[in-house]
Amino acid sequence: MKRRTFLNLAIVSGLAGTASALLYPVLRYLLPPEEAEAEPETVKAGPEKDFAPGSSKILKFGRKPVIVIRDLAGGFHALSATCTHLDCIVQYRKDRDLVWCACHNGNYDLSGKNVSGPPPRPLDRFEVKLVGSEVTVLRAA
Amino acid sequence: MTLAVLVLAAALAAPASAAVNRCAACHGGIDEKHAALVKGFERDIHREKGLTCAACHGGDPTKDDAAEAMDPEKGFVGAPSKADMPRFCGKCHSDPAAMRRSNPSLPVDQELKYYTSRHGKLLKAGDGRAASCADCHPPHGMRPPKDPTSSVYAKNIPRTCGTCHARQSSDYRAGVHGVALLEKGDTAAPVCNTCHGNHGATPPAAASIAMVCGSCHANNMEFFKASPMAKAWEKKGFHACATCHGNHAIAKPTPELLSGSHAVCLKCHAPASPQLAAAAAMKGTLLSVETAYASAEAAIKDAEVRGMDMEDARDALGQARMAMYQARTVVHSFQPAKVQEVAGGGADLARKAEGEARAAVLDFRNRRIGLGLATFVLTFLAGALYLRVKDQE
Repeated sequence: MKRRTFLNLAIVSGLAGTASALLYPVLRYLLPPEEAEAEPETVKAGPEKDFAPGSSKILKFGRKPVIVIRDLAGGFHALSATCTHLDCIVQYRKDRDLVWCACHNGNYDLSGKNVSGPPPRPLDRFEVKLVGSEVTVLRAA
Repeated sequence: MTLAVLVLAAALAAPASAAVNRCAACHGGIDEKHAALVKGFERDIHREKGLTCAACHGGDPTKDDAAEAMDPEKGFVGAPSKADMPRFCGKCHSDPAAMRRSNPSLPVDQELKYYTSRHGKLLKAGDGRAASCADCHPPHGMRPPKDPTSSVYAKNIPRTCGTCHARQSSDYRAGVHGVALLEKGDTAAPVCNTCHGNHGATPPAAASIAMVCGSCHANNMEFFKASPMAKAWEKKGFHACATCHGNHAIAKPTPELLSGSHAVCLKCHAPASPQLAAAAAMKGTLLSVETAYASAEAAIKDAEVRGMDMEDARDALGQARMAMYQARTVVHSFQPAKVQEVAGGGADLARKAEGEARAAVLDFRNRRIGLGLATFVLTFLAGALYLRVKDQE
């Protein structure tokens, strides 16, 4: 092979490689990511009929667990589901109508306020709105 | 010195109450000990509530003459003896009307409770070593329990109780609760009075230990009470939780408590018994989830130090941790199948988290290889272009 032919081939290959190196990140940027959005503003919790009074559901708000509660009177509440004591996941206790952490018997009222046990501070609050018949959780203003 | 005492005396006389208080002027100058008492009272909670020396010690604080000021006819009682201390403090602290004026939220049954405590009973029986009010609440500088400088602030209680109960205090510090409170700064961790009470302090009776521990470890207590072990414990007079976990030096529970040479089950069950086999099965299950958790955590840390986003894996690991905690709790039901059910899910989550972490590390390596290749291609291109231009010339 002649020197000039070889160099032409090398330049074309080099340009193709450079173009690939530039295009690959652009393509990766344009394709939708596999993981969920990290900091969403709203999350759908499901149809209202799925929430009987005295029931709850834990869902992901971005990457954080949030507990959506329908209290015995029918009102909705959404709180961070991570206990402020040692990061255990809390649960709704229908029998006491409060939020309970099983790890060390911590209790919060439905506004998220720590009312007894070891938790040092309240649970973060989220807003709940009914959009049509869909229960929607929003980041608190 | 005289000037300092006068300034201090004026300051002591001034605050919330405008009452005249000449006590500090004389007592502050007697000697260093008295000067310290006067100085200490400057930041005493009682002074902040508007009380002066005479509120506790009686007498007439308006008089300059010592005999007149400390005249028993005028109610002067001086410093109480240890035996008289509960009544001395109880003058106000057992009087709802007096407490309503200064601190209505404070209970007025401390004196009553004190005499039900081990301390109170011993003091009443004439044991001068028994702790009385001032042993836990040093007077002339007393602060409320939420003040970090108070002798009864959560973090200071082990030291306060340890003045007499040195061994128990030392054991507590080495235990899981002491480490949580004193090293990790978790002021919600239980301290001496959480289990023993404060004014009514007494060792929990065997029958009530499960209730005391269960006030925080609610599920552990429920599982234990529902298990056949509870009745056997009662029959043998065992001290519930303390039988396996100890009391003051409560070690972090590990699967080793169940089986092996350190197994607490061996206290009652033979090594070849079916009970020990069940315990060994539970130990194996716990070890399996703990190993999976530790391996996942290490893999996630490895990925994080390379700058990879591990939020999702951390979330799965958090769920695995919850399952691990639950499995440890379910052990108190003494049913291996139940433990396996909970722990199995946790181990799966931990393995999932580890898989994500390993994939992230692989991604990181692939990126570096890609960077290397791109650099090589660019260098190669630059070289080829250089030669081609030279060739053209």
